[in-house]
Amino acid sequence: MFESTREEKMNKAFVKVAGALLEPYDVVDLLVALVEECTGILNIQAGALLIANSAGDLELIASTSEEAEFVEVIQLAAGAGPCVECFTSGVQVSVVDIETDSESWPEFQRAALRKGFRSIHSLPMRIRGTVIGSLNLLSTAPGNLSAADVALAQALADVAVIGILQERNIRDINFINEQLQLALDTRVLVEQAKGVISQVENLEMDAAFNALRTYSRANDLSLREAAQNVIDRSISTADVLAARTTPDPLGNMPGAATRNDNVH
Amino acid sequence: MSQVALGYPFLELLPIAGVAVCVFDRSGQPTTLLASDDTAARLDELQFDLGEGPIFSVFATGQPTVIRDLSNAVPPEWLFFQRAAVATGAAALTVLPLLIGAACVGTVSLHWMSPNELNADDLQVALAAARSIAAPTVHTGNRTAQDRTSGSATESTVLRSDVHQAVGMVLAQLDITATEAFARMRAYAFANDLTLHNVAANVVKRNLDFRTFH
Repeated sequence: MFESTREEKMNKAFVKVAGALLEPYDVVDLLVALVEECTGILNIQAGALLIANSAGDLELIASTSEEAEFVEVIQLAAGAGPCVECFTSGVQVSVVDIETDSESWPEFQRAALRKGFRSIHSLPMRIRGTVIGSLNLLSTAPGNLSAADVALAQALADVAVIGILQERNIRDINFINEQLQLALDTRVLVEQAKGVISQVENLEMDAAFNALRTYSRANDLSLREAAQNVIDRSISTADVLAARTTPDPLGNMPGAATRNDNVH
Repeated sequence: MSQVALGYPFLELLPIAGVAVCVFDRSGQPTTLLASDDTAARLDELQFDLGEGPIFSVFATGQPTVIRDLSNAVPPEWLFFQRAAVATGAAALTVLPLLIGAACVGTVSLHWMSPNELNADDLQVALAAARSIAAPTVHTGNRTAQDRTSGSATESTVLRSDVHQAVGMVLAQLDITATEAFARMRAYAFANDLTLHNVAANVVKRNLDFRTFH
């Protein structure tokens, strides 16, 4: 029973992503949806996708939470922790108990435990043998992922790569770099727009992100377009927030906490 | 990344004669970090000297400028620039913004010795290359500035998310562009011997509000 429910969820996730790939879409939007699907299906509390920039440093591109303390945990893991080890080695890195098994990364260990996480699993994102980033899953319980869970997460990581590249036939390595840079740049625009909304409307960064995302969906804009409009003030932050009071196209009541509730 | 390396992607991937990379410092003054040849260096330099030309408009608008033929169809407000540019022997110039999100930090100038411009595919490649060197350019620019001032402000190697969030907050505080907000934050960091990351963290935590100095 449980397995079939899970199968169904999984198939739905792939159909959703495959469907998105047929339409023009925003890569950050798609990747956020992907990590949410992945953590939802695996019943794990948090997830984040990291991509390497041109200097080879990992940058956060999509996450189940935009909350500052969670982002800090991920950034520490990307600097000296399992995320960067997975990226450099190209193989899955799991810390099954952060309390006992991550002394070599003291800053990451402290921040993760403070946030209530006990295990982390980092899977490589690959294109033609080159690792371009990692998918990272954090759980509040210690323990390993089952082989089936790993296979599913890796499949979603592979889909994420296709999502970033936006094309099944990749012309050449320059094209790959173009797409990676565009994705990272979109993320920067989103961060700047979060700052504008946070400042004017006196909101926390994660609330600002949720408002931006709800607005972009309600108005059929990509996150990138919505962010650009907020930054150049062609839409007001009041309009962005107004979208929160009406249901979004997915039928969720915006503002109703749907993500990452158990790790605050 | 060394200064010279900033130009590699353009020289290797694009059919151009030369490239110059220019960064605008904390006070909005341009500095050329790299010029692949004398013509590229001269094209940047004459714009600084005259105070006019495409690098200023690209920096202000964040939009590319394409001049397919320098001897023809150059906007009248760039009369002095046009005369001086033609005298360098260059015949065509395309200037691209170096963008970090919506904040422009500098320009990339590509030139040819006969009338020319990038085709649509090459323009995409050039814009992607410009995106990929934007952050390293800021760091290189800072390092260069430190060499001159015997090392005061240092910055972390990665522009982290709170820097971008703070740019958004400061642009809203002062009703300015992202480009200006980024410059203001860098100027504040420099003047107070703080890192950009440190300034950003204080803005995001609402311990620092740029309206205070306005």
